[in-house]
Amino acid sequence: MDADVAAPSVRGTTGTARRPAMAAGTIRVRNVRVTYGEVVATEDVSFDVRPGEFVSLIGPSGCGKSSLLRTVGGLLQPASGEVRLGEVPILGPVPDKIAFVFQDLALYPWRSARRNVELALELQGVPRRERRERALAALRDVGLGDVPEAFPGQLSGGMKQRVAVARALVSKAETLLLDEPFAALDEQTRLVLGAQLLTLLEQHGKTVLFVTHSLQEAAYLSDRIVVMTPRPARVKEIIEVPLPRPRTPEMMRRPEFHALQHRLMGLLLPDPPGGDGR
Amino acid sequence: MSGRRRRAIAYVAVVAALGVVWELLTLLGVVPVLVLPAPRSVGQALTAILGDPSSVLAPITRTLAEAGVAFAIAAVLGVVLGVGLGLSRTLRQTYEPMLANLNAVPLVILYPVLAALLGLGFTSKVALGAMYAFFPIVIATVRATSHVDQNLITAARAMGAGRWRVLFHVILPAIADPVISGLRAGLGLALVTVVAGEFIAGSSGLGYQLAASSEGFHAPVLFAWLLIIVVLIILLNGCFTALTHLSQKGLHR
Repeated sequence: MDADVAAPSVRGTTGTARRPAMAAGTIRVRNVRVTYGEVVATEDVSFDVRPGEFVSLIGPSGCGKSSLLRTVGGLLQPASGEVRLGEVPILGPVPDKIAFVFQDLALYPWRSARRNVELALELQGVPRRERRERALAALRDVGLGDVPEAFPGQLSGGMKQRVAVARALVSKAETLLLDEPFAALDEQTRLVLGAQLLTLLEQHGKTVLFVTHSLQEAAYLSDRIVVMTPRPARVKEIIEVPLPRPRTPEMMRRPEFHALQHRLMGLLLPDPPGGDGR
Repeated sequence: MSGRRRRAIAYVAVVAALGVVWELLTLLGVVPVLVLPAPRSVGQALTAILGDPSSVLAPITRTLAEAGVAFAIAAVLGVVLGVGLGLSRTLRQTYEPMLANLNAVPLVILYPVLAALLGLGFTSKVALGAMYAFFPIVIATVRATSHVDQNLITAARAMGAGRWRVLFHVILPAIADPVISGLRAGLGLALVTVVAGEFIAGSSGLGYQLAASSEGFHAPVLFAWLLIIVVLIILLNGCFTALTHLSQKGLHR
């Protein structure tokens, strides 16, 4: 269970595996220590996210997963260690390569759904006309083609969620960092949206790093799952998900899915004395 | 349409009722005519004043110019300083209580000082008006700026926005509503203060007309000028509301 063990077998098992369009490069997190003030959020964290891969970060709440995600995206600088995208160290936001979806969605209430999506392009200097077309296309992709002029306050939680996803997809960034994007939704909605999101990301061949506290979500969506310890968070274990792609909801009834969930649960519980959590 | 008509009827009814009460008070001699003149004599005074357009327009333009300059100064200083203070936690915690305290001081007491420094003309009125208009604007701006959702700023940075684009794409739109309320309050205060300044010591403007007619015990003339000021304020407020609507339309797209 080492951070650097390659997993070609996961996608090798199916012919319809996601193919990274143009390999933007592996995200390499190396010995990252994130602090805020006196608090050490993460300590010596290392793992990779390979092009086209879906990796989940799980761990006890407040363990520093979100801080780690923000560090990967260049919004925070590590106190030590480094994050690279391909060979390039990440020293600040790289909006043309990495897009975020935040837990609270961060939609601008005075902007319509379309103009919220357009903002990502506006800040990258895309001309007005192209902005509009791409934003409308992204909204159609997430199933909101009929309400582009609605404001966030007029949309349901699930629809706002989709606007945020559309805004992350529209930029053509190959890597998506998702910070508990379904946290505010009820159980059914989040499963449905999760499945739809997965299909969408598979179609777009995106690389994904996904912070969640739902073991079911992590098991269903991921190629690999990085399990963190309580704060200061370290990598406890990295688990390959033994399910083929594309995923179908039926797989949630398979014994290996239950076994995986069970194992994740065991890893998140406090270590018994002398045990290694397995 | 019918809602609007109903509101118009209610409006007119209240004004008419006040007029009737006024007429009755003077008819029955409850209040001396020297203090509260009969509506008819006020009407006569009003037509006399309005009969000479230049005598109405000169004080109105004078007062509006003073209030306008005062408001413009206060708006620019208030919004710029307010955003600056609101963005820095340390600065805000240092100066926000100070602003609140200063706001509670009746700054009119400074008018003799201002008059001595700047004379009794245009400038001292503008200075007093600007001082009064400044506080509601800066206080509203500081508060609104410090309450901007940090996540909206983080998201914009993640999308590649630098400092200035965060300011123009996130902070300014986010604070527009409360700042506009502050501006409206500031405009009203600028006008009132300028009129008060003219009333205390001045040789022109609406405030001076009030002072001159009240000192001469020309109650009907005094009331005619009061009516003119009220109508002016209603018109100004209407203009402001229209502007607000336009800016909201431009922002919410």
